[in-house]
Amino acid sequence: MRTVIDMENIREKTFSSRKARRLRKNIVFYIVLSVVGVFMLLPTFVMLTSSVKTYEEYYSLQFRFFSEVWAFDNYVRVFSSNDDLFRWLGNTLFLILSNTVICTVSTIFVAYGFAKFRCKVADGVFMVLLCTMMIPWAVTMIPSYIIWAKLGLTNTFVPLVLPSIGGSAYYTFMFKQNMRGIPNEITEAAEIDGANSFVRLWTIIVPNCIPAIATMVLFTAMGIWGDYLGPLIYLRTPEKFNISLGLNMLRSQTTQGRQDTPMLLAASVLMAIPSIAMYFVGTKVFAKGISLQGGVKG
Amino acid sequence: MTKRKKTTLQFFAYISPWMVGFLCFGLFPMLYSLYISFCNYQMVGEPKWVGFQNYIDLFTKELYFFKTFRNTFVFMGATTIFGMSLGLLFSLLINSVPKCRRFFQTLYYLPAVLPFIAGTMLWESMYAKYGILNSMLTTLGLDSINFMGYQNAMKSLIVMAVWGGIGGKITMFLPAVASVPDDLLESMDIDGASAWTKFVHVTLPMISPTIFYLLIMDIIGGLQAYGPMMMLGGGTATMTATLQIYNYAMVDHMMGYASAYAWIVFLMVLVVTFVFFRFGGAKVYYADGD
Repeated sequence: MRTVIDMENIREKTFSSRKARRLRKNIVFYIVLSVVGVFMLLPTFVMLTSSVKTYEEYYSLQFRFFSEVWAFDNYVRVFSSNDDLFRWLGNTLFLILSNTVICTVSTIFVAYGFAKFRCKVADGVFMVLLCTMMIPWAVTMIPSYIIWAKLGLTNTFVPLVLPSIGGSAYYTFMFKQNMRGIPNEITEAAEIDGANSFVRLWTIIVPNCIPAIATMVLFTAMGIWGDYLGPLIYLRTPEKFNISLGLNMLRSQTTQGRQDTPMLLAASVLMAIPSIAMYFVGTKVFAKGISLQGGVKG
Repeated sequence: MTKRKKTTLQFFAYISPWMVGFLCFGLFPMLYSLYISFCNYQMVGEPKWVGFQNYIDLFTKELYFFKTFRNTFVFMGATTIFGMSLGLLFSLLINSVPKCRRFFQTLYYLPAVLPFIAGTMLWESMYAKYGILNSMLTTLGLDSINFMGYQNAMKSLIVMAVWGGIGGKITMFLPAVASVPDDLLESMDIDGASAWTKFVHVTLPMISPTIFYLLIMDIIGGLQAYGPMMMLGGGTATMTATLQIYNYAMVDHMMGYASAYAWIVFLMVLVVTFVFFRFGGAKVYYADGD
């Protein structure tokens, strides 16, 4: 009788000490994550608070996180700084819309081909597709630029939109994994019912891949919204600029021999807001997660 | 038409957008680039064949050729090593506090959400001579630092790149870390295994496909980095191969020379990736065989 009680006592003790140890460990984890999190957030936070500083306060040697007077006119100045601002926004929206639609539709088709029409050459072709991700940008950038220049299409949106008909290799890979997860029995049953491959794609495959497709749409749109290096090569005149190139133009403007940094930071904040919004919407669908475990073999 | 033939036909019909894109915007430019790299071409007149002259010039006359490659490898190496190890570390930490998983993940991903130009302006204002960081330092009574000076420029850019890259890595690592079976780890707990043993013998092998994938992407991306250097400056201290190519092609219009440079970078990427596949690929563990 005594031994049994002792055993239980001991078990109770070890259990509670393990629980305490785990709790202690977790508290340490929380502290580490929070401290590092503060440092991760700090630049963005400083961007936010500095964007409402007056020019004088920003350049004063005394640093304060919060300024005494909040100079919201930095934000007003973003809009009054250049007449082309709304044109840049329009250009950017056009690029987002055209690229996202073309790229997503192409990627759906291509991934469908790879996922559901198994033939001898498919694996080989898919390897080529994966390898294209490795081609350095500089190798194709120069000849592409030469060709577009010869065609007289630089400083138009054509070189920025047309290449997206090839779809995205990365999302083709992701969609293919998703589509292969849809049992062939379902598509075969539809086939027997007389649905051709195109009907099967839109009625069975696409509805089952909505989270993946939504993820691609959001992240592609986010990418085009912030794209700077692509348009930099092809767009020359300010009326053709997208928003990134436009803001970069503001960056090189100076007042009193200095950059108007608070205004630029206000512009950065404004530009970050749509991205952050898209990210938050994206994480809702993204929550399903892209896990590469066991799927990376291709 | 046989079923098999029909399938093959449909396969090619559906992947035709990619084939068109690949031929027009991948393969053809690549071959053209190879041709141009053996020519002297400055956007006027016809390309003039010069044989290997561009390549010879690169290795013999290019002023900062080796310095540039050293910079490229330093940037790639540092961002990969710091980015991967910190990304994995924070993924493990975040994974062990499930209640705040979403919160921390979002917090760490926020820098990656900032558009390129916003991030540029932010860090430019941080690193500037009379910028935010220096005004913080002087307020604390410390000496100001020339963040974009010759000595510090590369380090500053690496900090910026790691800061922006960790979130993406965590996003990829977290599902992988979460998929490590709990009962396996718990059974090791009972056997008295230390946290380190569990990490090395269970977690690490289980997430090795993700590590491998992210490493490859980091290496390929790191060897081609040029955006931050172009925007924040740093001169020869941060000059990378791709930025140099960009300058030769877009500023000087020396298309042949720039193409030759680009092909050297391409070969370098191929060699590094191949070596990595050869020696790293064997260590990757796939749960479903092979």
